[in-house]
Amino acid sequence: MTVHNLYLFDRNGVCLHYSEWHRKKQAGIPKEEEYKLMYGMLFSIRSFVSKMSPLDMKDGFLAFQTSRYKLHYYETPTGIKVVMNTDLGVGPIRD
Amino acid sequence: MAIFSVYVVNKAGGLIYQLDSYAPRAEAEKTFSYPLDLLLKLHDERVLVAFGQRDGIRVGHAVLAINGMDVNGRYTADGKEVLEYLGNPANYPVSIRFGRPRLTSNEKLMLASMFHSLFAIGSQLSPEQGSSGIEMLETDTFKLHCYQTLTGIKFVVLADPRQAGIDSLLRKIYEIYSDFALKNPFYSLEMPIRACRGKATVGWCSGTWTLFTQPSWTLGPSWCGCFVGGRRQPCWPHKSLQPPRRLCSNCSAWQWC
Repeated sequence: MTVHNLYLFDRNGVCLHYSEWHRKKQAGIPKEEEYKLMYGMLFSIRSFVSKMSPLDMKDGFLAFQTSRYKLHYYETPTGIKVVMNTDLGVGPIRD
Repeated sequence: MAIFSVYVVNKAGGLIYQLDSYAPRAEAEKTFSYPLDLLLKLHDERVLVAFGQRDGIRVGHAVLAINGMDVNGRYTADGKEVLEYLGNPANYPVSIRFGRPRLTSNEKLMLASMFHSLFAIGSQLSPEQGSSGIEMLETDTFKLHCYQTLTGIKFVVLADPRQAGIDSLLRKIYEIYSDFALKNPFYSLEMPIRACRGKATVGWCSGTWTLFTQPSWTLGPSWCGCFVGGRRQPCWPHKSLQPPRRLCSNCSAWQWC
């Protein structure tokens, strides 16, 4: 199991913390821009999921995966968002 | 129902096909007396619950019907404004049905384009080389699976989180798309796909995903593309599980229904 990086956002979208362990490819944009893009993407995914969902949701968006990495998402009731990118061999890691 | 919806998105991000197949969503009908203990507000041409929760009615549910008659956006079937009607104590007791609002076609188009962009951003923010876009998105009520073909078409399926075999379903839908849409001489690429006269659905049958087509003879004769002696040939009745086309004996071209 490889953990690539970790982001922490507050409820206004300000990146509180970023750690990187094993990242092979940089995004090609400055770090500030990358935080904003990541927060924007998560905000859009949350609103997308709440509209698309056929039933009432309790926890909302949990994770997504691509062919190379998996992004895990956890949001506290106060709006703090924890985002972790790992490789694919990982199950649910909300705990 | 295990599969909730299917969306097909073209390479520009536009929705070209959409199918919804979920069973009736959670709806609750209750009789209320004045004053209403739920706070309603108007949002996006719909009347939604803004605050208050009881008996299966949650925040975000829309008013679907009043006294058994379906409401039309913010107006009742008689043309009165819903909020005004519910603010008048003379109309009580009233029976209101609440439920999750259905997506309109415009909203589906917007969501498909939104997903198209999110797919691309997912690939850009990747910490690893050579990542594709979002292939699977997981929430607590559904799982969204996406398959992008080499030509840029995306097949998106929303299913129950426990449903297995969706990858093979996506490949099967791609196969069906290439058989029915691409080989149809009247179909233009990247344009919305119009359903065939006989409605086709994808279902699970004996261990694999297959296409079920209703026999089209129940809808009357339909006309295919083959011209013989200046007139179009009538369609033949096709049974379930057979593709609705045949080789024309007169001109050796494929006929489509």
